[in-house]
Amino acid sequence: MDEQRFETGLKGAMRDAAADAPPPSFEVGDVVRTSKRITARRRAATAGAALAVVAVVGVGVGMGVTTTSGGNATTAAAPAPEAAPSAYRAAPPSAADAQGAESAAAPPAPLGPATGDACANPQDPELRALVDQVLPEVADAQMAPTTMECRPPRGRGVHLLVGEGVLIVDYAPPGEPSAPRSDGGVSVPTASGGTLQMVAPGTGITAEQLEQAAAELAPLL
Amino acid sequence: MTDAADEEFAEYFRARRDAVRRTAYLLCGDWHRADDHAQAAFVALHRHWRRIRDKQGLDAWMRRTLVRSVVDESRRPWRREKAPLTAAPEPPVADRADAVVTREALVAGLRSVPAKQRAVLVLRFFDGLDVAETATAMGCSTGTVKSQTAHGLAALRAALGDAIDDLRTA
Repeated sequence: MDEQRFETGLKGAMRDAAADAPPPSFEVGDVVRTSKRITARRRAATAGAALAVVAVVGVGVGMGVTTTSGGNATTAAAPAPEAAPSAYRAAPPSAADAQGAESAAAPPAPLGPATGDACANPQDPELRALVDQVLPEVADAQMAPTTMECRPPRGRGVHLLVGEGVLIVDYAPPGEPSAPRSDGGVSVPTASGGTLQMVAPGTGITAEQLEQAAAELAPLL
Repeated sequence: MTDAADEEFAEYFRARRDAVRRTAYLLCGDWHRADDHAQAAFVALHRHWRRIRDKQGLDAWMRRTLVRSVVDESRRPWRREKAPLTAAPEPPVADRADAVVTREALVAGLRSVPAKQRAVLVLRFFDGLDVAETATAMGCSTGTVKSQTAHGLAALRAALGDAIDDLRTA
């Protein structure tokens, strides 16, 4: 068959092939809800990082001390901390921006331990936001069921259904013991002095990919 | 988004959803994954809606996003392209419409073509884009589009084999 006939036949065949579409599995409401959920998660991650930066700057400035003539130490009036740089800038759609990539003007402070005295949250939203940032492929993954085991307070966890398995991300705060994993997962120290452990049985995520993800997540925790 | 922007987006969605789904289907060969890719593209569009000034370029924006989504997925190790969820084509039987066999052979043939070449073929022969428009959608040069077209057609010819004679001429 000559080239021209082939191309003509191809056009018709493509039209035929795509003609019998099954009913769509999504409506405009599904799109809008997903869009708003992603935006809310990224804003939470940005706000958390910005607050951490502001807190660090505020503490650093507040620790400046001057001595008065009477020998009394007074704390220098701390200037208002600079607003944290916007970590989410709007950009025109481009090849790099199609997935809504974010850029930060400065590295955010590590997330660190959770607050409170209750058991560690196995679906910590702040940790989830960071996991979504490092692994955008799991941004829409549903939460996996978890056990009732009470993990130490100030820890953080995320359990996600990925593929046929579960991605488990556990952060233990500084001072909490954490044994090295022997089940194919990774265990790395974090920037805040804690320990990050990740395992992904049945998900199809390889050990190398897990190590790469842990290497990107550890400086943020 | 404001109510007006929401309604504007919804209007575009209603007008283009089916076309985007069909293009996605030819790009990936499976209706379930096609819906995933189409929905992801619309979600990305919704998130950027306010910032897109040129509403005339929405179709081009969607095509770029869709193609990138499909090509990126083909590269991810834990989402390697698998056989379509639909059943494998059955051997032709006497009462089976030839059109169904041809359709299935085409989709299977397209799936065997490398992702970028497949994208070029779908954009040029299904969406009807010219070389320049295809280059914009793919984020590459017109020369690359021409060579990808030639290689893609050759690969598809080889994949179709005898089924090539069943392609309609009109």
